[in-house]
Amino acid sequence: MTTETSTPKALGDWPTLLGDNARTGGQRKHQTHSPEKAVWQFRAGGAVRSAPVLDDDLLVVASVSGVVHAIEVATGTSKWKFRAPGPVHSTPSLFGNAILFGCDDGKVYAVDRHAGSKLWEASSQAEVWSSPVVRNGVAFFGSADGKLYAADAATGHAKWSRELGGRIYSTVYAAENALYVGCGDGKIYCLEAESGKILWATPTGNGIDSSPAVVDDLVLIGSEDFFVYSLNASSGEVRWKYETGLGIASSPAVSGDVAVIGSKDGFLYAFEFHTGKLRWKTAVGEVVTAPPVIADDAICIQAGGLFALDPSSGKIVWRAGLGGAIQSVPVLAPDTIYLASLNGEIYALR
Amino acid sequence: MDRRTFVKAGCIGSASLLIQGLDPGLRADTAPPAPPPVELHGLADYKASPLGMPGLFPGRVIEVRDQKAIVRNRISQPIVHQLLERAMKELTGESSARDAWAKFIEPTDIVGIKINPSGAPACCSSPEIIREIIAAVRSLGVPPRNIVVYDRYSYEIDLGSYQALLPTGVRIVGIQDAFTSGVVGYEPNLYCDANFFGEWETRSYMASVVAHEVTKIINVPTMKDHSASGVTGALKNLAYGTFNNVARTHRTPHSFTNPVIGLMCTVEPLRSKSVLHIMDGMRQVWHGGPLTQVQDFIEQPGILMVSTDPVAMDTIELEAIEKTRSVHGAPSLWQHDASSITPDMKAFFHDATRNLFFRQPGHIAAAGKLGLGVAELKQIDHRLL
Repeated sequence: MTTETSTPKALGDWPTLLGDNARTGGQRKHQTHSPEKAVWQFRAGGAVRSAPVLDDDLLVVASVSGVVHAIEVATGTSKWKFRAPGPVHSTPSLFGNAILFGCDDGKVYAVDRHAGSKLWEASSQAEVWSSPVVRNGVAFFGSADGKLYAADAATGHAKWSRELGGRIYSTVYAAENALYVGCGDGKIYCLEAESGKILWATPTGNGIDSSPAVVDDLVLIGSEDFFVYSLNASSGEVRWKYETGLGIASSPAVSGDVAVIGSKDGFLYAFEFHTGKLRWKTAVGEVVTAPPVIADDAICIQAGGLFALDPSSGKIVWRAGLGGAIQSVPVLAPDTIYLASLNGEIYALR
Repeated sequence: MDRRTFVKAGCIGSASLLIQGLDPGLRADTAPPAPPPVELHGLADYKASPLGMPGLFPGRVIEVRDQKAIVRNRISQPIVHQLLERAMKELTGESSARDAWAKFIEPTDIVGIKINPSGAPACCSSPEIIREIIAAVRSLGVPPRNIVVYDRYSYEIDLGSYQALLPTGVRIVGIQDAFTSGVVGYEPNLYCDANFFGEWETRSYMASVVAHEVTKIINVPTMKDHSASGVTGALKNLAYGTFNNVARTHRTPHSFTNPVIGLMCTVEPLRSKSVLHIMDGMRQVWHGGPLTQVQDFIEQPGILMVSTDPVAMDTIELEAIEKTRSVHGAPSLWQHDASSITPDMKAFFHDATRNLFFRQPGHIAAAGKLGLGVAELKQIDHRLL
């Protein structure tokens, strides 16, 4: 039985935000070439704020209009669509045969991936923009009501909830026994996965929209106080922090010893994540709020358009004039890039 | 290309089709077209409130400033708290901040806070100030669910990360996304009708949240120049953030923001519900507004202004931005020089001598003539604390 959303069943799968629970940025052992054409284009019928996810032959995209689309990647045609009761800003995640996503009606829905029918729902008291993350059969999600929730990923039954100090738009990083999440109260929290007990909370200078990555006992995350933080995952102690030019809504992607994150100052930053030493920074747009993703030979980010940067130098190697995004992330499949634009257009680029 | 256009254009890869108002057929040396008749449809039997514009203290503008309120683009929550309390007490003559706020808000009110996120993240209504306003309103007994922070475009609110930065319980409403046309989120019976340049849709509708949901509005404009209206302050934040389909009022080089901004502000119930204006002058954009992200044209004076009179407030704002432009050697916002007009967004954003339209700062005085407030500088009780 699948116990988490982190394990792609096939080479091209991309089951959750940034590819897997480890937030490794969806790195794949394949080349990412400059796309030459759109193989197909799909209209979602409303703005798309979140990122698409890929499972074998299905691309799943959620629209702010409240419709979640399952698109056959071979043809770019709709397999099914699920109409949620409210806008969907949350990036879907895949767990077994279920597709999980949050909705502005305060619920997380699980929908059957084959039929598009509802399997279960789990409630909170305000909109859920974060992406549900499953680990050990438990779905974790934050809500704008200020609580972090744990629910049985097979049934949606509540296991526990824990009130933090502010709205939660950050997507949880679920480690084996601990959860890490940013909060609108400016704190980065670590909670016990089993009980929701708060193990530590480290303050930053403003609210947090960014989602953490955890690598080698370090928690990496951005804050609206302009800083990128690296914390000791066991204690919450700040190991290093780096000041960018404006607030950070982007989330880090990690590859090798480098972490990459965007800032609203328009730059993409690459750090040696153990030391915080800046490798490079590159201007990619006027404002960067989306997370980057890392392929074997390129770092991709949506910032007005789609940019691909050389991982070692940060030099822009190609760009495509489509794919404006707030939080969307391209899905890098072996021969295709799947891209969701803020205006609701979905592309398969090859 | 401005950022709003850039985001949209980036999505569909056809930027040139989306730059609003850049009609090469209209040259800067052409005479301005005659203003069309403007038809206003407000709530017919709405009883005007004495709190409505120009409100309880016509002509009075309180300005407080502290350079430490913003340091390297970061705003100090404690200093903003102090500034707002001082300003509110001075505006109302009350000795306590709570009593000052109680002049405008009752516990049973549904309070709308009209933000301006359109320059986010470089210059927008600061979440720190919004947090202080929310705290003050809550201190009067208004529950968080009865506080609505709103603006037209949900994606601009998202860019400012307001959703993560404001307290739990408060509703955050983007009336529309940038890509959906139609009147969802707007009241079809309340509108401003005029044909400015032969557009197919001649109506601008009032947002439903203003028409039907909120009972009071606290307006939080920013301090910015505006390529079409001269400045964007209290009046424009209300008018063009409440009605849809407003970009059609300006097409290069001409702008009908005068008189449309003032006219829209007279429409009920917008006029009566707008009881207080708190201008966020932590940052001041003196060129490239309203959407610029170019820090060269953004100062950080740490100003906060409060007033019930949007005309007086915007008059002070206009003077301040004119002064800053003068210091930097930029031409006056009143200048109508055909050679300064450019259709090139890049030139506009990086050269303070260029502009997209003949600006219309006269919209403020026009609003004064409509009874919305005091536009004559000498008659304004401008108190600088």
